[in-house]
Amino acid sequence: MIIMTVVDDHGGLCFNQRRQSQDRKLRQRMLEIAGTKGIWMDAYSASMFTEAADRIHVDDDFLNQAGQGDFCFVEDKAVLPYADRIEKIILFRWNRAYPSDMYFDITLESPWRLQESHDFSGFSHDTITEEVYAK
Amino acid sequence: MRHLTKILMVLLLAFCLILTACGQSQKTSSHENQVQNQTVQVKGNKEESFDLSNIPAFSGKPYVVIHNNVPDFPDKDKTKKSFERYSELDSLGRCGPAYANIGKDLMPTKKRGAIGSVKPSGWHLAKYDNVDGKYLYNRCHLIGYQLTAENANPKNLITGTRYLNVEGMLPFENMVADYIKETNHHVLYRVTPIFSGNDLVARGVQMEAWSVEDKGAGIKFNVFVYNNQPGITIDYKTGNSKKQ
Repeated sequence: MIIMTVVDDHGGLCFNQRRQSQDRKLRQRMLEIAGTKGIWMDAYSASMFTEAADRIHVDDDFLNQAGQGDFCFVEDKAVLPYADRIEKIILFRWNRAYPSDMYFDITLESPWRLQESHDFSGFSHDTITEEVYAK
Repeated sequence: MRHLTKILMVLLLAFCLILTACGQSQKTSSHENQVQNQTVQVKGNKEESFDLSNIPAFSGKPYVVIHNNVPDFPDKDKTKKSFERYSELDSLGRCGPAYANIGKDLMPTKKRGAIGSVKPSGWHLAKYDNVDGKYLYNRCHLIGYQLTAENANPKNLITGTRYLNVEGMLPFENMVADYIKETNHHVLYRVTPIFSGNDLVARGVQMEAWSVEDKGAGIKFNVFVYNNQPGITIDYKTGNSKKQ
């Protein structure tokens, strides 16, 4: 599976069981990357993707359900237990500091290698960075 | 003689009790996080008390969650109408709570102006090599400029450490600002400086926020952010400071 996630300057994901931030242009970019395959996610994340519901696969156990090559958007879950099954990580960065009490739990060191990186403008964020990591 | 001894024993016991009480009082008042209730007045709200003794001593994390992250806003303010209210300075020139229902209409449309003319209570120019940017104190907005576009408003600026400003308050401000920009919703937002006794420098600030249109689903927090600076000791009564 291919993990998509978004972190702040400290690797944070959530604070008080709420996402740190959101951006409609980031959602468009994720849908563009996933194409017709669509994206797996839980109900909390799916509530943001109302404009493309036909390409969203909602299952609160999606990390166990997703197979090889499936895109999974993770906002509020630990992914380390699934590390062996993760083929690629597409990490977006807000380039902002937010409060956080839950963090992305994979350290992007060996065997993970940064394959590509580029910036784009968000709707409510000046610069969002997209990084692709593979083993 | 037996009666006299009994009286002496009672007097001795009373003297010991007085000594013990004084000793306890002195110990408490010199404690870094002085145990003292502060009453803060929130304009238009009920009077509330903030008990600093419930706040753990600073241990290197910029904030602590209080009241399970549940803020306390009155139902009458949970509307889509923006407002901002700043408290009058007290007799010591100290700020009180700054309170707003922030919508996009209150947010800045131009870059921040100069604020150097304001001297908040306890203000000192103090430079240290181990402080980011050298200066220990910032003129610290209670409600950040990116939220309500307040420049040199003395009712909205306190003497705050660089650490309070950047590591403590800014991440919460960023979260609220970006949420409003993205959703065009409103966020009830209150920052209350917490002073101990007649101190001129706040021990910290209480920050509360709640997103209106989605009833707190997007933004909800209640935290105490420390006005500390790692490696520096601050005399909160005066604002004097020294390297540890």
